[in-house]
Amino acid sequence: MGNKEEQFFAKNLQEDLENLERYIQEYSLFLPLAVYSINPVGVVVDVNQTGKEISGYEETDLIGKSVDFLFSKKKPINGLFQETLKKGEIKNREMELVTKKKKKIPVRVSSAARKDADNNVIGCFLAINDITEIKKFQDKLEDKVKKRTKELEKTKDKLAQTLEETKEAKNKVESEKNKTLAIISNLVDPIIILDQDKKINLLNPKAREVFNFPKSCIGKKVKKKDNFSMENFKEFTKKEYQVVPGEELDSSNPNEEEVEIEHDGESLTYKIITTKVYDSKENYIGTMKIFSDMTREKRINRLKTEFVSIAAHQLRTPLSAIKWAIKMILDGDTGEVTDDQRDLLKKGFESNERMIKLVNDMLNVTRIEEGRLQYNFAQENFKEVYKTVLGNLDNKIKKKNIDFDVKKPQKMPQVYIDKEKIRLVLQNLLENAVKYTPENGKVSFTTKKGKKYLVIKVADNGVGIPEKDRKKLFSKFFRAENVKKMQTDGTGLGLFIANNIVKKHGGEIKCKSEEGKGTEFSVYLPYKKENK
Amino acid sequence: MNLRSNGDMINQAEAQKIIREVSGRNRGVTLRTDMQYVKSKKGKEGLTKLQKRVDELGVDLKYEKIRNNEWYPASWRIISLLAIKKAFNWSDKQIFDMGYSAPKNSFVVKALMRYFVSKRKSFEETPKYWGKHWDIGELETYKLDLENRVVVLRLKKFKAHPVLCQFLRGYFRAIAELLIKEAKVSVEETKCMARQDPYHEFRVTW
Repeated sequence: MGNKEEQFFAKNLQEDLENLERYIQEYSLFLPLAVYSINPVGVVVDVNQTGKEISGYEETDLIGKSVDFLFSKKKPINGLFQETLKKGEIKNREMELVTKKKKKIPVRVSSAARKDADNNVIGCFLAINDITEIKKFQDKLEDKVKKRTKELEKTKDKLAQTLEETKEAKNKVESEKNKTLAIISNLVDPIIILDQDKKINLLNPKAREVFNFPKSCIGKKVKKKDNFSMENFKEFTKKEYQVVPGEELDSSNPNEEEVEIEHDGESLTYKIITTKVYDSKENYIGTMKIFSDMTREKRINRLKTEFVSIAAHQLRTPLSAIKWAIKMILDGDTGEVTDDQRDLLKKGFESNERMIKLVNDMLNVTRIEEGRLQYNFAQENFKEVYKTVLGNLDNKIKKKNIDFDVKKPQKMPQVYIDKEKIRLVLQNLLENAVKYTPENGKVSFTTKKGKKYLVIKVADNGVGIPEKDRKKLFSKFFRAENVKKMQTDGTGLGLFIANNIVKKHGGEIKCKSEEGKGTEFSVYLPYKKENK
Repeated sequence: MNLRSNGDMINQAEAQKIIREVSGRNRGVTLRTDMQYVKSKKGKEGLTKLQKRVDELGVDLKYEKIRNNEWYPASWRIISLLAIKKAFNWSDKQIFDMGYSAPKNSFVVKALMRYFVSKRKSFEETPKYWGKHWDIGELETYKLDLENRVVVLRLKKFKAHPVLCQFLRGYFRAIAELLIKEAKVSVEETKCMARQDPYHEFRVTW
């Protein structure tokens, strides 16, 4: 080959080499992946543009440095390098690259061994990919997952806690239920519970025992609508019992009644209160019938009434004898009496009269309680009734200089009454009015015709009745606090008797009063027969 | 030529003398390495200053037109180093640093370095670098004792300027570091033709 030809080839070769170098440089500039060339001893011998940019180092700073120079941990990168030389290729190992400014960047490193023509490993390429954004996303995702996991764990804990609490509450409820059941079962008195569909839900042992209710009646419906009376339970038992209706209370306590039943050779009396049961949210959940054994109280009352009746009867005869004896002395049948003797005898006579009234009242009360008070109803002219009463009070009215006013209709109607009993009522009301009205006070007696009732009003401007005492006004032996202080006499039986008599006539007594200003009693008497 | 007596002084006459006395050629990549180094340290203004200095010396060296693989007079390489030293008032240490940086910029060096499979092989092949860059002188691996961490390189038939010796010391150190992965590599010039030794000898230890 001639010299010229050699020069021609050398020139061409040189140009090819320059083109190749330029091509590699351009390629290196363009490549967005950081690529480092590592020689077989693990030294960086070349780096592309992205490799410089990612690390922040100049090419001259990087070339000649050990491959681990760029990484926060030496062991993984050196391990990867050695593995590459052995295996030929490693992909996507996550490491941390440290930049010139000491910033740590998460990177993914892949490597590929390079071999010469004789298949000798002559180093490797490292491709480094910045995964900061991926990591951030991953971290965010991990944070989210952690947060969510934490939330879920919290929720789980809460659920577990709630479950535990529910379990505890359930046990507590169970325990309470058992306790309640135990109490109900061991109650000495019967108890009956119905559900909201009026089906028998519970009968305690005492209820089953006394009424002989079979177990099979549990779940059976009480048929009569809106009535929980013991009359409706008779269909569930063969045992006989008597139901005495009591007072209608209110809608939440449908009724109160008494039951008389034979059990173990003994006559038992139960007072039964029927009450509706509501849950904590005010939902109606059933009805409960609570029995109270009144047998003993009834017996004691009966004995007491019997005793009073006997005592009163026994007292009446000597009291009458005393009355007539004093009367005869006062009338001069036994000779002249001095004024002093007369005064003393009068006082004795009045005390005896009060005693007789007390005994009569007590006898009336016992008769009322035993249902033995006899009534002789007839159509009567009411004028005839009150005239006598007013006449008997005349002395007392005058003595206290009371302004007594009587108002009545021109034509007094006929009323269906027992006139003696109604006289007793009027006497009680008018005597009270005069008694509790101060001297020079005012008492009025008004009779007015109503549509169905004759209305009799007894009003005074006396001491009045304290508000707290008004509810017990018609109870036995009741006397208001203010009159207890001012009057020593008075049995506390008059209004009890009056109220019972008026009720027996199918009427009613109402009272309006203001303490210190006066009282007004209104008696409503039906014109026609309306016995109760 | 008594290169040592002339020291680092360079002027037009001195430059012409170097052109006359230094024979042989070297690859454009070495001159471009000088240019890149000056650019990196002194910027474009620095390169302009250097080019002006070279122009003043009456040398037809145009840095921007130099092609990596083209061959240029070996004297230009010496003149270039002296002009740089004078233009920026650089010390021998800074010329050493230039030499240290040079292999890292050389496409030829990088290309060759990838193909060495072991330290021994690499050192054995090192003289080849010389031939790729210069057509005068011979680089020989005189001693290769990896156990005792000593390599002795001898550069023969290369009677140039001492400024190049500083440069080569840095250059060999960089090459050694690439091959042996050791931070504390030191290179001493134990013999120098400028001191009338029969060859240049560089002792590389680590």
